[in-house]
This record gives sequence, structure tokens and C-alpha cells, in this order.
Amino acid sequence: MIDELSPETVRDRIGDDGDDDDDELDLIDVREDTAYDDGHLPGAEHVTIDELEETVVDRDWADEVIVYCYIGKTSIQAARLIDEYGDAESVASMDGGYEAWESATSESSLQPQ
Amino acid sequence: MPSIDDVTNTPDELSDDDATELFEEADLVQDMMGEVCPYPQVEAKKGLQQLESGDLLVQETDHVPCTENVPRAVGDDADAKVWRSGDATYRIYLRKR
Repeated sequence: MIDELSPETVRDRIGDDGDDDDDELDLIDVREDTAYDDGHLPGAEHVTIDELEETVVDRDWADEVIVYCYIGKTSIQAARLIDEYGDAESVASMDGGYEAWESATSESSLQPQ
Repeated sequence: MPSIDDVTNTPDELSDDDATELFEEADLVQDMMGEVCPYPQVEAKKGLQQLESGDLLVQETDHVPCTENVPRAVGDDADAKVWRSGDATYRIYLRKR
């Protein structure tokens, strides 16, 4: 069963300064290119579902992985995939996805291009 | 190679024959090829609202997660079945309750 974390929990986890060289956490955005380019969570890495399928086994995952998508549904399947085939210790999905993140946080917390 | 299909919990599957037969009696067909969540969920709910109890809505998709997320989104409004073509396209059959 994949844990679903609230946007607030995710924000606390990645820290207010959006420290993106934290190697204990992989923050994965599985949305489409244009959506990621328009805005994403601080430190988020863009990995599409197709890329995830190709890389999940060989990649050296951080201990903790958090995945998000548009509304927090596809990210559950993506998190299952990492949980099943990857070597991370814990894999979670962000509840409500980027949509919930935007309404839970102000515009200023989004990392610019 | 791992596939998102491996970890997607879909409803009961239809045989090729049943899928073809049912598809011909569909009351509403939605082409969701190339679309990703949440758009198909929204369209399925809207589509079901236009239909009567017992009517059949079919969505065609190439986005595997939808085969779990769309049936889950419509919940108790419809009975769901899925058909896998075998070449990365799927149909979601929603019989309105």
C-alpha cells in the first residue's frame, strides 16, 4: 500500500529553501513536459511514466522517494512501480497532486524555470 | 522491462469477443487516446450524466493508469470492465447503474 502524503507534509519534508541536493530524497514529477516546465515543486526531477519504466530497475534510488502528478492518482501507480522494482526504502505519493500543492502553498514557493 | 501495467489494479477484464460485441452496443464512446489523468475521469463523469441507467459508456485510452483511475473516479455510478488490446491500447467499459 502506497502512503499518500499531504502537500504540507511534502513541503516540510523538502524544506522551505527547497534544498535540492538532498540525496536522501528523490522528488519525482511524472506529469507531462509542458506541465513540468510551467511549474514544479522545488527540487523536483521530471521523469515521465515511460522513462520510469525504462530506468526504475537500474537507478540508484534515494532512501525516500515522493512522487507527484496532476491530482495524485497516476502518482500512486508510479510509486507502486518504484516500490516494486526500485531499491528505495520508502515510496509515497503526494495526495491531490500538483493541483493540491498550488492551492496549499503560495506562488512564491514554486521554483522558477 | 517493468511496466506501469504490472502495478495497475484494473477491474475485471473482457475477452476480445465480449469487448467487440459490447463496443457495438455502446451508447457513448469517448476517445481518450493521448489524454492523461485527470481529463478522462472528468469526461467519464460528464458522459455518465448524459446517459440513462443501463446505458454503456466506453473510453478508449493508451494511458494505463486510467484503467484503474477512471473506474475509481466514477465509483458506484457505474459497473466497470476493461479490455486490453495487447498493443498498448485499452478500453474502459462503464455500465451506468
